[in-house]
Amino acid sequence: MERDLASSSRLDEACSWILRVEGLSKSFVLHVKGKTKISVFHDLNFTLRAGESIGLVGPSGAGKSSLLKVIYGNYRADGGHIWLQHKAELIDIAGAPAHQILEIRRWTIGYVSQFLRAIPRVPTLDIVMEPLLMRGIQQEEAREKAVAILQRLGIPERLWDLSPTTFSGGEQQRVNIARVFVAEYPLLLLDEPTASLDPANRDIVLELIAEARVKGAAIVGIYHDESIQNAIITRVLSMKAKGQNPLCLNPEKVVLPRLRG
Amino acid sequence: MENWGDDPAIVLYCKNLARRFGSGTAFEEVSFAVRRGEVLGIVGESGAGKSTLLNCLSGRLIPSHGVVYYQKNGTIKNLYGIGERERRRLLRTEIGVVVQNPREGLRLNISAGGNISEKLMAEGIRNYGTLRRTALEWLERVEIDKSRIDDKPSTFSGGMLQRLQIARNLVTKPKLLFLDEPTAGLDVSVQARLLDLLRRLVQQLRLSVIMVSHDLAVARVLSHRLFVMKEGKIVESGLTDQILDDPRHPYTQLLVACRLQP
Repeated sequence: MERDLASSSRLDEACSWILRVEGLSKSFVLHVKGKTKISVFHDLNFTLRAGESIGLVGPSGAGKSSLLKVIYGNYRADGGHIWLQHKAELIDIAGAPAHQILEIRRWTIGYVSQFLRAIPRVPTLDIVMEPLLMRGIQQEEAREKAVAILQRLGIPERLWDLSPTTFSGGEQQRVNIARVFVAEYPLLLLDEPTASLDPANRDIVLELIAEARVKGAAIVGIYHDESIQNAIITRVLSMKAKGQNPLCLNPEKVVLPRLRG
Repeated sequence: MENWGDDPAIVLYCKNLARRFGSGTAFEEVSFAVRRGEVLGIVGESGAGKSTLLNCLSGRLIPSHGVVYYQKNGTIKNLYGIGERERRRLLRTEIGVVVQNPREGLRLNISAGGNISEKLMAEGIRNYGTLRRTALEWLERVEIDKSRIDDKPSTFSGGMLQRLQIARNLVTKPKLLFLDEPTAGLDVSVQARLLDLLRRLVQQLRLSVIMVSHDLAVARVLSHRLFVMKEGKIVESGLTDQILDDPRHPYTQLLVACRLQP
């Protein structure tokens, strides 16, 4: 990979940040609807350091979930860069080849999506063990860790052998969370992680997030509840409705959250 | 991709592959790499050139243009540059091909055990005890009742035939498996069981797989990456979730929009 002057200085600073989004744009072109173009967001810029936690706010449809998906490499960006510190290397997710994105998802970015998308008939325990097995961890150890997190999230043992496709929304979401928090990731993308959960489970998830932050994880999250958000974030990124540029607010302008842990 | 030989994880690499017939073109401009443990799904409507591409990649049809390379233990072989004998050996030991109609991929006149053992015998393994034990292990792995080891495949159901075909191909522990419409003609529950089996085998054996399917749902369950083919060209490629969630090419969008949601 060739390094020009701009990226060298980027590299120098890179030790201090984990994610840098530059000029990021995303739109959809719907060919089946006569080439309608829908602009999701345009020219986004922000930097995230280890231990920082950004909360994305904005009206429904402003592109919050889409931004997480673009960072995860699920959606492909139209323009701009997503610089990521991945294993002491600087990678632009926006241009990375498929196998590299898979590597990044295995080791560096954990993504809790809004809804669990499970392959049918795969048991819950296998789903939660998989990220560890993919990292080369032995079956026995992976099983122990998976069991531990499932227990912590209150998923009863009788469900471990079942596919989560028949579980309730809250149970599915807890499996979704277990699958990500069973391993450690430098960067976490959380899309409404506590949306379907009752207060008790919500608190457990907040604990998990706080523990991750203490270990140095950086987080970009969407939280449907302001009180939850204030417990977790250090900064707000406000995404306005389509077409308007986002505003990144300084902590002084936001009610500072109590940091846990 | 010029220094692909430096990446030991790459199992197969093809460049500018094309196959033409007289004035027609089955497929063209195909270039990609497959890594260890990766499942590549090739989807698209009938006649798009998928099976022809598979045949060229698996050493059974000489392409009109382009190259196919295999890498094993740091040695790179040009599939159509090596002699017939070496290519056949490669097909026997390094590559497995599971064809759409299992009756064409099996020997119907010999027993299930014989079908599984055939490639081993061709490799010089003659000890009856070893062959039988291996055949029994594989019958168990593909979930065929071990008591059927001496039965002829003509007595097997469609799903069992496909699973026997898989066992027959995997017995020599190939690195790469080609699947051509593996679930065609099977009912949904049988299909599901077959896909679960394939998924487990891919994980356990770190198999690389190139799979052709006109059924996006089937491709989705197994594949890490998808190539969408239309009229002989790859119109879009990407990670499976990228193709399904963010389809860009008009044909891909049509394909994704048409699939039945459970």
